[in-house]
Amino acid sequence: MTTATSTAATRLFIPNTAVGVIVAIALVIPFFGSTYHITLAVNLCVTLILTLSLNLVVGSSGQFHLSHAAFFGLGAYTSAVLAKTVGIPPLLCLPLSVLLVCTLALLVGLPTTRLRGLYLAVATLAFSLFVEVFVNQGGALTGGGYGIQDVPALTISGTVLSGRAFYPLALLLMLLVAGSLYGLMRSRLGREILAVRDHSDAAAAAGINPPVIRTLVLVIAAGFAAIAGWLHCFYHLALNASLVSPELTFVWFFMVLVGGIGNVRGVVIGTVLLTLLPEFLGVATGQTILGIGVLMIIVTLFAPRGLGGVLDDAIARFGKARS
Amino acid sequence: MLSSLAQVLLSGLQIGCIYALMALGYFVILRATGILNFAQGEWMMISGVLGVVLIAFGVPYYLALLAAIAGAVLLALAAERAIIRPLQARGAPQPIVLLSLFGTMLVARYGTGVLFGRQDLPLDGPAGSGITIIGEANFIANQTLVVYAITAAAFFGVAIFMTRTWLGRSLRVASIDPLAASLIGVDLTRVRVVSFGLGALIAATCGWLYFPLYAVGYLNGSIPGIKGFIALFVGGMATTMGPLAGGLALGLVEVAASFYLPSIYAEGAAFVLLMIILVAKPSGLTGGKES
Amino acid sequence: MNAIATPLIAVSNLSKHFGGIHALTDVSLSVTPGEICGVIGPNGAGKSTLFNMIAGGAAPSAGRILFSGRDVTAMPMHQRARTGIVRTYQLAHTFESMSVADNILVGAERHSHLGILRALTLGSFPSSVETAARERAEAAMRLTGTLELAAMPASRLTFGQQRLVAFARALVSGPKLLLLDEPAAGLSSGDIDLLCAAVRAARNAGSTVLIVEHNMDVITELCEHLIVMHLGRKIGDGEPAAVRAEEQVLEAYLGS
Repeated sequence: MTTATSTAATRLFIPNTAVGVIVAIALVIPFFGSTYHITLAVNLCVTLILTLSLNLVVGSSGQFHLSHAAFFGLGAYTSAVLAKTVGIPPLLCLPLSVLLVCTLALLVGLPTTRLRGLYLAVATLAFSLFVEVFVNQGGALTGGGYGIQDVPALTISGTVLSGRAFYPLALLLMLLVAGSLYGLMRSRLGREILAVRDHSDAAAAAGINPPVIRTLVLVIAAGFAAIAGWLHCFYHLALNASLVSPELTFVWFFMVLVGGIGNVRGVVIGTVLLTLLPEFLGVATGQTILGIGVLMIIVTLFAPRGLGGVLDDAIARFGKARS
Repeated sequence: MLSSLAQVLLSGLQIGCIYALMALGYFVILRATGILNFAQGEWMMISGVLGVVLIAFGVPYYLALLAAIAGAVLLALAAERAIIRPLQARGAPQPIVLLSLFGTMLVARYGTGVLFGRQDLPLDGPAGSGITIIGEANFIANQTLVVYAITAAAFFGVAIFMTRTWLGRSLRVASIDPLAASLIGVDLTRVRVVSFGLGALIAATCGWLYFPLYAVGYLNGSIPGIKGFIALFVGGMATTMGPLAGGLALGLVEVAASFYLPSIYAEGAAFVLLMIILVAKPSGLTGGKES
Repeated sequence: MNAIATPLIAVSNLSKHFGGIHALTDVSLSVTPGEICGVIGPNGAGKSTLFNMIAGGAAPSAGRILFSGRDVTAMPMHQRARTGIVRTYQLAHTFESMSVADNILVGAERHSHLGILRALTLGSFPSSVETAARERAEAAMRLTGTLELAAMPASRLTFGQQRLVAFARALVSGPKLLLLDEPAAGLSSGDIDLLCAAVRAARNAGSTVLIVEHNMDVITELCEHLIVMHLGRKIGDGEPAAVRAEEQVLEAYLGS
């Protein structure tokens, strides 16, 4: 599988004016946006957490890990069940659901660490299927096909954070996750992750334990997916089984591929485009996935290196023209 | 009356045959082209949807059945022509081809959802709901017999095809060494077209065995599709008997698990079975040493 | 060979076969701490297999390997590296996503502690441990003449440069046992001189060195102890002059 399309896999660079525009919009939304816009913005934050964490897994292993939606959905469902059925304060549900999902990721990751290619794809898909059916048939626990409604809202020191007030929290968490991933790749652990990706035998010769690193990457990514699930749960205050559908993983995969695997800038742009575009075109969710399927086909037929690659080329050419 | 264990085994055998057929579809395509065709479950679903629609329009049952299967196969061939062929011609790497198949799968699934709506609708099996009495007090649904018959015919047919016909042998050679195959006159495109068509035929036929048990709906090809993969990997890809062994094993394990465990955990049995195989014997139940 | 000191590496009756092929048959040897030991022999002699067994890349079919008296036969490679057995590869295997400096830094860092929490929170800020490791990396780059390449992405290195960078990465951890797999192959004569100087410096700093090589000049230049392999067996073991003089039949393989 193609690894990073740019050697600086961790560089997050967007032209300054674009940054300014994005920051302005992000700050202004809670005041001027309608509920529709806020929902869109929160969903975008959630999806960014998901694609950036998926990018970590795929970029550092070059493999098809197809269980991301299962971790996301389980994070959401765990939060909902803990808050509604068990009565745990929503804020506390965050570390608890992250812990549960990470433990599950460990259980899935350990046996699958030596699997490659199609074998890994099938194994992770089988796990995702299991979770999907579990949630669909979970009866009273998971609400089955109807899902869970009326999740208690998040309260922080007396203030109920719902709707408009929730957005800053979503934005903050997304930025923290992005910052955390950025820092991760610059740390010693990040170097170990890259070493294992580049050449796992040479990494072992340097004292790094490749299966442990690979499993750890999966666990970290699953933890971030659980955070995204928690956000989704306490914003929408209702869930249904579509959250654990393996198709969602394909959709996020596509956003990562379009952006260029390992290329953070591309992944961000790909996610934003593919989340906002269907909204602007006024399509419903089922049609969104249809559209993404069509796009997948078009992109593979005409632009296999993805958006990130195209951007890299454009910037390189621009740089050359100026010097 | 058959003991409950025997009932469990019989229904495990039936669903196992269905999984085996799905696995066979993947097997034919994978062996011939090295491609894991994620869209197989959707051809099965489309065959069911077309059938329901045609019957609703008053088309006689068997005509609708044939037309639906043909329709699904034609769609599969169109996908091969429009998507896979240009990619292979360009020498696109496997992940790109897989991605295009994901896309095809999503388009087939949600396109059908948009065109035909979201309700689940029932479909009768070719044998209706008749039963056959065996011995004194035992019976078996005719539909179950049809499942066994079709499964046996399909596996037998594919095995003969792969070993006795020129085209079938081309499929086998093409998967082992495409370059050598093309040098001895095997047309790789033809191989791919035949294998995609055959795979879709098997999946589409399988729909008429599966959907009478569950309902037809645009999302309902997903689960048998994934289970078909799992069955293929459990059984092994070395010989035609691999998908059969895998499908039957999966069906039996699943039904046994749902008999003894709450059904929500029974699905985990498929995952656990797969993991056991992948860790202990990656070449599958029927596999020899990894080549 | 000093029979009084505990050997750093003691290999007893090591054998390896795959299928019908006997790559190694009943090989025993020992390497004294602080020496530079060379392993030579024609192609197919089993040098690489022996090397791989000691490095931990594959398990022997029979026999034991003791490292400072400790049985490491079953120890996985990453753990051997942490214990002080560090190897290089014939094909260098630099980490292409990283700069040269980072490549070598990876060798200087301790990997037994995962440091997850720190990585996820303060990852962008180097710890004092990392700063110290970077200094050691810099010293290793100076020793191998790769300092001016520090910021270059490893993907852009020439073959010879890759070898030196990988070598620096092996050196920088101050290994107890440095295993070099044909380190001179593909190096210019200037680089070979650098290599020899670096190997001697490593030994002076406390490493014991085991080199598999075809280049007889390098072997003669560096090694005090020579082991000769042929068809999976050890046929010579001792001081270079003695070994080479004693086995006339080796002339056909060793050349002059």
